[in-house]
Amino acid sequence: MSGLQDPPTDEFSDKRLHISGAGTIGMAVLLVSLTILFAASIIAYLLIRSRASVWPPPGFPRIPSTLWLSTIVILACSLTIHMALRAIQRGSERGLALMLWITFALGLLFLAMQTLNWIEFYDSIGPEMQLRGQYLGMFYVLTGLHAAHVIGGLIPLGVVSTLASRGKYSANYHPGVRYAAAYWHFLDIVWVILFCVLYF
Amino acid sequence: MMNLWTLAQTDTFFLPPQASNLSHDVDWAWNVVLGVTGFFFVLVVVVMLLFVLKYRRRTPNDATPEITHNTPLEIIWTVVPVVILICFFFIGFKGYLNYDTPPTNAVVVDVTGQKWRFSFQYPNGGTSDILYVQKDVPVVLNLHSTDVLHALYIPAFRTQRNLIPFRTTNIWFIPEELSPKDGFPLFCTQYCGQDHSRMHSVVRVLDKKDYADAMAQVANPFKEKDGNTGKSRWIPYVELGHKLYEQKGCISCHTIDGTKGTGPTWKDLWKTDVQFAAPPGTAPLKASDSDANWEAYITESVLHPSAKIVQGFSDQMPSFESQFSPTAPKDEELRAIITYIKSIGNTHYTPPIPADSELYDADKHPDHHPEFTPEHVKAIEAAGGAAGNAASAPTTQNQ
Amino acid sequence: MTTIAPDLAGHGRPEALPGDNYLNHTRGFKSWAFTLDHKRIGVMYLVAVLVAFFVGGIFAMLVRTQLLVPEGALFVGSEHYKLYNQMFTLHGAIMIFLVLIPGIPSALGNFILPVMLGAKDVAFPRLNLFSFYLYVFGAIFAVTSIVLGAIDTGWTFYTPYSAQSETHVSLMVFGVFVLGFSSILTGLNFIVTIHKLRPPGMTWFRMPLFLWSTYATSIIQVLATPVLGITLLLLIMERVLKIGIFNSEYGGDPVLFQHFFWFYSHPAVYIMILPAMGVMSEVISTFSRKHIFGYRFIAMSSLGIAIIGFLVWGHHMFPNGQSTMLATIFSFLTMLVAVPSAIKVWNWLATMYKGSIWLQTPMCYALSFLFNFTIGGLTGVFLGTLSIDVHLHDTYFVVAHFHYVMFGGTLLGFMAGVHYWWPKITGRMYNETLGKIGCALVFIGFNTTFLPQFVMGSHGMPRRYATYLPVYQDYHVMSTIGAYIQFVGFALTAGYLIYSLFRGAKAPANPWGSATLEWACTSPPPHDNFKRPPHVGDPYDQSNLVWDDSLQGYVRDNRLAESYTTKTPIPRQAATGHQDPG
Repeated sequence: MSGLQDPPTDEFSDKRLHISGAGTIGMAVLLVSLTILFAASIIAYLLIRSRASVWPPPGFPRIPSTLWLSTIVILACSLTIHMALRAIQRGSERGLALMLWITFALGLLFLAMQTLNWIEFYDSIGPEMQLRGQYLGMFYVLTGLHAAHVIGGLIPLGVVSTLASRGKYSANYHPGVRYAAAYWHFLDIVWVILFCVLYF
Repeated sequence: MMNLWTLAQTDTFFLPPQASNLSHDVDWAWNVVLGVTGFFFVLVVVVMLLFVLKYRRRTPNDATPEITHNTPLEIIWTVVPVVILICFFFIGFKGYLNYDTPPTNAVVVDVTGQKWRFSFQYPNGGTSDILYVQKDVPVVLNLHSTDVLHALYIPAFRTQRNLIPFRTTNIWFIPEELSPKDGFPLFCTQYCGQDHSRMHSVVRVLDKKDYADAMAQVANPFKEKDGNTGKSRWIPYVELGHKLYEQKGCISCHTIDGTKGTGPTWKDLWKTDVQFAAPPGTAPLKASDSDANWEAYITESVLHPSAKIVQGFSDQMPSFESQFSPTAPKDEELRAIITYIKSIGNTHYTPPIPADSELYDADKHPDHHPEFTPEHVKAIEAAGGAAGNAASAPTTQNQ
Repeated sequence: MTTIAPDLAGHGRPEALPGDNYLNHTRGFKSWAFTLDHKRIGVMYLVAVLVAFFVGGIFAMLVRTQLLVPEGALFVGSEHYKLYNQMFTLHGAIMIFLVLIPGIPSALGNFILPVMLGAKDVAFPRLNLFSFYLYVFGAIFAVTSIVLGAIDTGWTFYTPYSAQSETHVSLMVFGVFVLGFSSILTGLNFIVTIHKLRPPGMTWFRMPLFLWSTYATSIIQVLATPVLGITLLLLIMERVLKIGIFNSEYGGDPVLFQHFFWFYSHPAVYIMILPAMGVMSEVISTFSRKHIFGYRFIAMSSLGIAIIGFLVWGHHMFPNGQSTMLATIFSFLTMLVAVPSAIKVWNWLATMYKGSIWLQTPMCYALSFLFNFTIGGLTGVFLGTLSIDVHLHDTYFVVAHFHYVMFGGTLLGFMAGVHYWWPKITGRMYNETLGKIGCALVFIGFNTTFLPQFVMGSHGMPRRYATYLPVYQDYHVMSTIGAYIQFVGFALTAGYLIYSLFRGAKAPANPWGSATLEWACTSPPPHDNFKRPPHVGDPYDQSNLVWDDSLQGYVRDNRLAESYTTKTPIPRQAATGHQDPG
């Protein structure tokens, strides 16, 4: 925190900590990078799948249909965080905090459901096949990768929500909310694509 | 510097001798690229040194001209490399087309790579650990791997291709030069683990007669023809076992002098108590166990090496099943190896037939090897008693 | 003008060495461990990279010593070849992931980039510190893997061998995975810094070329590294869960691994070489006391390399028997990627034309770079030519080629950069004579090591061999002697650099007469780099810098400052007529 230790002497020094627009570009670059991460994993999955004559391989069940519920939950996340953004743009700090906390709760719910899905899927497979094979492996890798990013998103979302509850954001100043919204929309889109390639 | 000097005299400074149809285009491309890039390299270095000498600093405040760029010049030195490089690309592309489309009359040799040896199987079913080819006869090599990636590279033929597990790749060539006596080197170039650097062999390019002899030899590993006297003999199993020990690549992991290799030594292996690390609970094999048990154990270790792991060793060995099928006559090869292991064991081993017995004279007893089991002899007779070539008929069932 | 010029480098005669600089601004372990100052983070990276370089170098010495005799001089007998395999794997993995990739961007770049740009820090200082700790964390995993018994897969981790090897592959792979994140975050930070922290007047085309090349590098880091991440993650899963993606034992496809791996690792070659090219542009212009020639071509060629570099990964897989069509496309694109490098070489030569060439140590390294990189680049053309590649693939020719690019290029560029910015970073001058001797030893040693490898490679000596046929022995012996010479050269270099830290003469603000902004700060720079936004002019106009004997450095002459500030960065009129640089 060396920037904070010495009080800014002039306008130039002050700029060190608040660079307008830097966060937006940073977020955009981050999302592009993550897009490539997910794109590469989906391509790997599709290549594997395209080589198998039957998919799912004989003896394996289909992906659990409870994934539909997960999909609805994460879509709801996207909706609520959008509403949070709209709320603060209107200047409603209470609406912002409420919507952010709902999003946070939905995120947790999503993770819980994913865990149940994992367990259900694992149980539905004969013990001799558990933890073996491309089908299962790719399912766990892809959904696990996404879940890891959901966890990675919940932490900053919690920070933003707390700040919102304390009234740190206003209609003119709410960068954290914008970044959180962008990230959650991204997770949402990635999930929908993942769900499509895994389920169908 | 002896070798450098001899190399410089016998070969070109770069590149090994040209011994296949593919080598001409490659070497031509090499020469073109070497010439052109060499010219540009010399140009860059000469210009650089010239500038360093001519424009060296005289005073700390030398005035230098204000030259920032020159677009036409820069376009020229962008376009010229583009044109040259596209020419190179085309030369390389044309040479590369040679590697496709083998002629239809080619001899097909199946190549299996496994840690850490190559094995070559010929159309007559015989196998060998060095590659025999006939001069001016096109050859297709179908490449398989049983474990990890390998690559087969023959510098003198300018060809190289990877061996990929569960896939078949292939290369082809027409050998154009007879090889020296010890052959052209052949390497594995794709890193494949511990003994990667020992995974090399040779190619022998032979004339028609020598090639036919070599084929007869690989087709029947039990028999050997003396090149000078023209006499044939059956190889006694102890001797044959040692030969197979070297040829099949056992030698790369198992020693015969008692020192520790990747796998247990063969010295005194026969009838020495052995403890197993895996699978857990496997009963140890005792010296007191029967011959049949010991033979079954060795057979299993060759065909299914992962079934039992000896204490102090790890599960490294690939299966040699494709080398030793359970049906005749390759089980005879396996018997030869077991006989060889017995002969270097701590129990005294007497061969059933003395090595100098006239029974081994293949010219007098052309029907079958004197140490073949009666069952196998019966099988040969049932198959029409293919005299003198007992190994040729039933060998292909595993490929 | 007189109101602006003094802010740059003082009143024609800067005040004595600064009392307050980034090194003594705060004290104590915590002031370093939790610093957000990009300069301190840069220094910490530099130390880490140099330590890794030492370790990787030791492994290289072991590898070369082993190859003195055909049956192996150190690790004799089959059961010891594994040790050799571990040595070359560690040499490769450490040099690539811990030295070459972070060497210039993370170490030198972190220190120099913001100052050169005229900023106070990078855009996200906390993220920057986080990247550094990710690097340390990744390195710890790698070291743990080494301590536990190292890995023997080769730095490329090719499956199925890497999925089956009984060595500690997962740990090392996880380490590299973490290093990848460090690399992505550094790239992200630099991109945003360059976009948002340029001070007034620092237009895109007034940025020094080092910044352009770092920018191009950062783009590759951000776009390519995630693919490495997922590849390594899948490899770990493959080892732990046997899911059968890359491991043919379980129905996976080893070639798929190669595609994914090289999709990152070929662009990674450009992550390594581009920043070195940036250093070259700075050093050659400065030590020729002349404007860089063809600024825009050099800047755009960096971007060109970054873009085409993504499309050539397939040339690592020519011997897999991929379709002729694919091989053809990859060969064609591989040829094209050579063009931007060629442009740069011509432009550097043209920069030297009619210059005032000052053979200080950084320039000596730059000239070695030019020599070696030209060999490295041109031998790459052999390998891009399809039919020749079939013969040369995975031989010592390839080994020599990429050492000429990675060592002769990146590492000598790094050495040039270290010597060039050493006075700025440490505030001390090193011994020039020893510097030149060190450079000469490295140059001679390097070429003795790797020129014979081209010859033996063309004769078919395969790479990664613990033993070899006796016919290749002479080349190997020469090669090993060369490696020892290099070792002496680097030991000498380490010696005089460390000595300079304690006994070196105090460095002036601008010892070389460079016009880029970092030299407008004191040496070492103050904690905040600049008190006010610096005035930005043409970064390659050194004409108004004059030598001051009492300072042993250059100062800006105010009488010449007028023309300096009014000059446009790239004059519209091409100075044609009197230039035909070769």
